[in-house]
Amino acid sequence: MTTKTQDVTVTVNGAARTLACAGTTTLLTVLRDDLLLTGAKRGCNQGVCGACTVLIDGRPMRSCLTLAANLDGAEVTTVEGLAPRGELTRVQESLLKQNAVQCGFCTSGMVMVAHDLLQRSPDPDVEEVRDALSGNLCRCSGYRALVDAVIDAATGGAA
Amino acid sequence: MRIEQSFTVGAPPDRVWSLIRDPQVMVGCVPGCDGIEQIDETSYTAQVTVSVGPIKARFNLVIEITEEQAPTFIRTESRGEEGSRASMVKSVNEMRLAPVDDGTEVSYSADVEISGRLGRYGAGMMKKIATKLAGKFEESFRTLAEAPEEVVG
Amino acid sequence: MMAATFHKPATVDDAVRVLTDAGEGGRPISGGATLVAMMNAKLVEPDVLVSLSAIAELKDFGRAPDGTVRIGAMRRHRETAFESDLAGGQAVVAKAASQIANPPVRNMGTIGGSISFADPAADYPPALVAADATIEIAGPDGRRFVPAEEFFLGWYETAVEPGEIVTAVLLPPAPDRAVGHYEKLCRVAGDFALASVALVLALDGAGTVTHLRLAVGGCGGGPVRCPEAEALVVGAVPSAERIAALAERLVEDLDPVDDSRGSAEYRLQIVPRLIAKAFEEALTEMEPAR
Ligand SMILES: Cc1cc2nc3c(=O)[nH]c(=O)nc-3n(C[C@H](O)[C@H](O)[C@H](O)COP(=O)(O)OP(=O)(O)OC[C@H]3O[C@@H](n4cnc5c(N)ncnc54)[C@H](O)[C@@H]3O)c2cc1C
Ligand code: FES
Ligand code: FES
Repeated sequence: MTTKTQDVTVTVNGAARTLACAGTTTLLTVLRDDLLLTGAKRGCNQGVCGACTVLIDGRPMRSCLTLAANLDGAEVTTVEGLAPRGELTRVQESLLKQNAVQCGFCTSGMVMVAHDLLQRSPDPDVEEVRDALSGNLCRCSGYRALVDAVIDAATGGAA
Repeated sequence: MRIEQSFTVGAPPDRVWSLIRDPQVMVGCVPGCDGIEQIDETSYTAQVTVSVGPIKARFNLVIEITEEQAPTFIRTESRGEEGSRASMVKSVNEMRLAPVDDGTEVSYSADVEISGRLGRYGAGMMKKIATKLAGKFEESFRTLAEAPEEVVG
Repeated sequence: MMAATFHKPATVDDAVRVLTDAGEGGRPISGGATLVAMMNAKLVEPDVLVSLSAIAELKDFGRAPDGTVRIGAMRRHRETAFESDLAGGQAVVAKAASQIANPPVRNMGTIGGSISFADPAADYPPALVAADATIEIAGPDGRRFVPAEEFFLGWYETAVEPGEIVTAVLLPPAPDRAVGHYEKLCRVAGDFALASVALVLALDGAGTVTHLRLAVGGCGGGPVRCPEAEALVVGAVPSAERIAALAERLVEDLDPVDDSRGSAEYRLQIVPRLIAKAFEEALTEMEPAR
C-alpha cells in the first residue's frame, strides 16, 4: 500500500483490467492513454465541462476528477461499452436523428448522462432532461436539439 | 491590490519602532514567517508561507528598505518566488508611526502583486485573505508591544 | 506529474495515523471533486494521499433516539439531497445539497470534503449554521466536536487541524413544525452561489416566530449569522417590514468580494431579496400545517 504505483483491478466495460497507476493518475488518463478508450474527452480537466463523464458503479461521474488508484474493485462503463460494436443505443440513435451532434466533442458525455437518466427515469419531462444534462457543456450550443433527442429516445420517437 | 490598515498600540513610538526594526520580532509576528536573515544594512531575506485552503505557497523573499526616517516612517520593497514554481509576489510597503494619547498609531499600506498559484484566487479574494493575515499580524504585534518590557526578548 | 503515495485505510484511526505521519505533504481525499481538480491544475501536489473511501463508518447516515441526525463525512451530495429522513428544519441541509453543482458532481462530492475545503460560496456551510449543526472531527487524540458556527474560520480556513479529518456532521432535532429553506442565486444552473440564504423557522399557533436561525453564504469568509438581526423577528409575526429590518441589520455584517461572478455591491443588494424570498417560501411551506 505504500509503493508509488498501485495495482488496481477495475472492470471496464465488462472486462476486468489490472492497471499499475501512480497515486495522482486520473481515470481519464488511464482510459485514454492506457486503454485507448478515447470516447471520454479531456475538455477542461477541472470537472466543469462534462466531456469526460463515465459511469462509475452505475453513476455518471467525472473521470478527470477520479483517481484511478481509488477505484480498486469498481465498475466503469464508457461510451464504448454501452452498445455492442457497430450498434447504437436509443439515445445515440436519437442524437443522430435530431441533429444533436455537431463537432461531437461533448457527445459521449451527453450520451452517458442521458443514458443514466433513462435508466432511472424512463419517461422524463423536459425539466428532468435539462437537469440531467446541466453539468455538460456543448460549445456548439446544440442544447435544444440535445434535449429533444433525449425526449425522443425516451418516447421511442412518439413525441 | 492595495491594502491599507491602521491600528493603535499601547506603547510609545520609540518602542514600537525598535520592535519593528527587530527581525526576530517580525518573525514572530508575521503570519507564516519562519526566518529572516540580514544581508546588509538595508536588505534582508525571509521565508514566508501563505496558506489558502490546501495550497501552501512558500516564498523566499528579498526585502529592501528603500527609505527610513526613525521613528516615524519606513518604506520597503519585497519580491519573492516560490521555489521552482511560477508563483511570484512583489510588494511596496509603507509604515507610519504617530504618537497618540494612549500610545502609537501604526498605519501601513501595501501594494501587492501576486501571480501564479495564489493569483488564481482573484484579486478580490486575495485582498480579503491578505487583510485577514494583516489582522493576525496586528494582534501578535500588539500583544508583544504591550507586554511588560522585561518579558520581551 | 509528481507521484504521490496512495493509501486507502479501512478505519478512521488508521487514516489519522497515516496523515499524522505524512505531516505537511499529506492530504485526505474524499470525493476528489475539488482536490483532483486542484492537482490537475498543479495548485497542490500532495506527497501522500489518504483516501477515505474505504472507511465504512464515514458512509453511514443515522438518527439517534433523541432525534439527532448523524451524516457521515463520506455521504455524497446526491445521497444527502434525497435523504427522506431530513424533514422539517433539518431539510435545509438536504435542500442545500440538492443545489450543489450538477448531477455528476453530486454523485462524487461529499459533505466532509465540502466543509473541509470551505469555499466561501459553498452551499453546505450556511445550511449547517442555520441547522445549528455540530462537526465531529477525529485526530490523534480522539474525537472532538465543534459547532458549525465556530468551524468556518473564513476564507478557506476551518477548525480542522493538520492530521485531523472531519468524520461526521450532527444535526440536532429542530423544533416541532419547523421548516428549513435554502435560497441560492447563481448565474447559471450548477454554478457556485453569488449569494445564498439558509433558514430554519418555526411559528406558534398564533403565527408568532418561536424559532429562527438564518445564515448567508457567499458574502464573507464563511457563513454569516446575526442573532441581533434574528431578534428583530423572533417573538413577532414575520411581517414584510420586520423581515426587511432583519435584512438591513444583517447586511451590515456581510463582507462580500468583487469577483468574476458579481461585485460586492451587487451581492449586498440581492441579499435582502433572497432573505425575503426565503421567508416567503418557508411560510408557504408551513401553510397547510397552520
Ligand atoms: C464543476 C463543479 C461545480 C461545483 N459547484 C458547487 C456548488 O455549486 N456548490 C458547492 O457547494 N460546491 C460546488 N462544488 C464543489 C463540490 O461540492 C466538491 O465536491 C466539494 O467542495 C468537495 O468535496 P469532495 O468530497 O469532492 O472533497 P475533496 O476534493 O476530496 O477534498 C476537498 C478538500 O478537503 C479535504 N478533505 C476532504 N475530505 C476531508 C475530511 N473528511 N476531513 C478533512 N479534510 C478533508 C481534502 O484534503 C481537500 O483539501 C463544485 C465542484 C465542481 C467540480
Ligand atoms: S474534462 Fe472532465 S469535466 Fe471537463
Ligand atoms: S457538439 Fe460540439 S461541443 Fe457539443
